[in-house]
Amino acid sequence: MSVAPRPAVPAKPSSSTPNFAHERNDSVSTPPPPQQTVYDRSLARKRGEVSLSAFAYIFSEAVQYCHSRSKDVSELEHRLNLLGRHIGVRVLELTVLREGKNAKRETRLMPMLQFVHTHIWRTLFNRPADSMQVSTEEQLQYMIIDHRPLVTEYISVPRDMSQLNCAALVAGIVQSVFSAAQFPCKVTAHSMGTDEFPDRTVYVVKFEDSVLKRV
Amino acid sequence: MYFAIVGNDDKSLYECDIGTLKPSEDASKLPAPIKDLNLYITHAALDVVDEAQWETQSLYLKSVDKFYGYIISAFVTPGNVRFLLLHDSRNDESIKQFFLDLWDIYTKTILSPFYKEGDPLGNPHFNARVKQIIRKNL
Repeated sequence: MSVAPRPAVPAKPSSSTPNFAHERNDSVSTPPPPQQTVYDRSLARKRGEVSLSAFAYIFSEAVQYCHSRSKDVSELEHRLNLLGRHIGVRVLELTVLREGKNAKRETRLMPMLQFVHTHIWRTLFNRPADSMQVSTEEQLQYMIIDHRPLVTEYISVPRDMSQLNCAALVAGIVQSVFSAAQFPCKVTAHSMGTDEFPDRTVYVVKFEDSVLKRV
Repeated sequence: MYFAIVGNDDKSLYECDIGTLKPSEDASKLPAPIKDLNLYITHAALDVVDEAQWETQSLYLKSVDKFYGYIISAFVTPGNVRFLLLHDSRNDESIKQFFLDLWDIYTKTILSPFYKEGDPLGNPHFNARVKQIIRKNL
């Protein structure tokens, strides 16, 4: 999942027509013919799995797609958040699976936050998040802070939409990671730029009370 | 033996029968043939799993429940998907390996962008892999 700069390679035109043979086999219990499937490939971590230019391009298309279907900024952010939720569950399983023999489930709140801050961020962006804070105003509210979020790096926000933060996608990912691990919560992304880091983004994680009851 | 995968929202994602169970000494007291009860016995263990999964950080919960001499072992993935196996003999190491191999192919399946969370898991390639894993470990 990690995104690392890599020279863009022109996409290979697909030469063969899509193969739907396996769909026809669905009801029959005969074993499928031997061929390369996802199950033959290793899940082990590789460096720079995704081209940054390809990611930036697809993400900008996704933002425009959501934009054209939303009437205001909050709906746009909500749509991006929903997109992210599809990713979170997968990232969680993959990240823990890659720990190999040390794989474990986080059952307590603080270690879980730490896990997201460090391991999930590393899977997604190749580095841990910059810091984590406990909210002083509200109970069960935590903040994960990223000084230079990768997803917003190539997005220029028009002036009339200054509220928008496209890291809503990452907020969706984080929310679904926590929810899948049975820590139901709401996550929102807020731009809080400083002079040094104009793109600095704060992810506010607000857990539901049920989390507290269990702990 | 009987194997089931139960999703995060308690929906059944996959199930399969594996061979036959050796009749246990208590089995004669059973009201119906064990094959008909597999599903109920196994899913009844979910309540036990719900409690046991917070007691430990390991994914493999070992045997969580017993029923007339039969054993139910469980494995919980980080995303709270439960693997349940109903079996007759105690062999922790090979069952653990069985679950770990399954977790691997489960993860590969859900990584597909066309898979939606909560969809049933059966596709021919997945089935073939499950059979292979059963042959290897059980």
